[in-house]
Amino acid sequence: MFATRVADSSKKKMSAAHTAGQNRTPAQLAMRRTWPAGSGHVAMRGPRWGLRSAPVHHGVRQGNVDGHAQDGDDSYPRQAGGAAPQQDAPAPAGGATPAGTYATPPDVPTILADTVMAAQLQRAWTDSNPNAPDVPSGSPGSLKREQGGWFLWRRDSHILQNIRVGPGSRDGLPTIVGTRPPDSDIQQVVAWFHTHPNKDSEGYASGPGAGDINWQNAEAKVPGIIMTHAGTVTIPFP
Amino acid sequence: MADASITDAERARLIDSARRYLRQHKAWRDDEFRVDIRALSDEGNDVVLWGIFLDDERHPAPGGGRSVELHADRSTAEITRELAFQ
Repeated sequence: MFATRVADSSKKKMSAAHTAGQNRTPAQLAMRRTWPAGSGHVAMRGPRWGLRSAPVHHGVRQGNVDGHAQDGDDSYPRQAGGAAPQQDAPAPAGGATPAGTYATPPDVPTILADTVMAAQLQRAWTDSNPNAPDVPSGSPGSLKREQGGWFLWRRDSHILQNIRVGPGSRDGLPTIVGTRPPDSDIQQVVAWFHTHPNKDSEGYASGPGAGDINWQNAEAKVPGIIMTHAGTVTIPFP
Repeated sequence: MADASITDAERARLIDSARRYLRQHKAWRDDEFRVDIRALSDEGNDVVLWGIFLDDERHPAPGGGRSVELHADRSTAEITRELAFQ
């Protein structure tokens, strides 16, 4: 395992990460990688939450940036892109925050701990065919497709929304370029996410690459969440 | 230098080895890429380097592009593994 000491004075901004426990061996679950701040690498640690056991919420909000489902998912509450969201339940009296809503924009650990959003990450992971047969890097025929999208926090209802973009290639997600939803008085983008479905045995690094980091700093301008065979990794921002 | 545990001489040797590898195995020209040292293994035996194909930075997008991750033996500076980004 690589860890802690880094010789590079990279300007990339990332330092911490989180690992979830989907499809892991005990050894993988025990894996600990700690990349220092500024290295462009991330720390990975044991599971903080169980994606596989996360219940799928029937009120899942998933769709394109225009507010429409991208995959024909009928569970997605269709709405105009700029429209106020449909609230799952009225806020209780007395100022209490209902489950799944956040008074302030949630950070990445909070997003990862949200069972609805965790289920959506798991869904993206599954949709990327991570366990399709190995195909060496550079060879045709892989059935894997990166998936990804955005997490938005609604300023009015304080709910989190998950927006998916179209599938990418086995090792890239160009479909997310140019799709960042605008921040406005009704919504704020709080994170972007994507999958890394390829394995080390196929000749792929699991963590974020220069493309992920550069694009995040140039366009996404929010933290990134990556689902990988080695766990869930985050790219902090700024 | 960010990491005092890798000397300037080691750093230069590792980067030179990576540049040579990328020229030979990827047919990259010197003006098409740069090499960054990214991390040192816990044991201190292996070094991770990134070969950044500069065109990837001109058109950033999530994904691998042509850039690669290289693993090198610290003692010999030999490149032992090449991994694609995704």
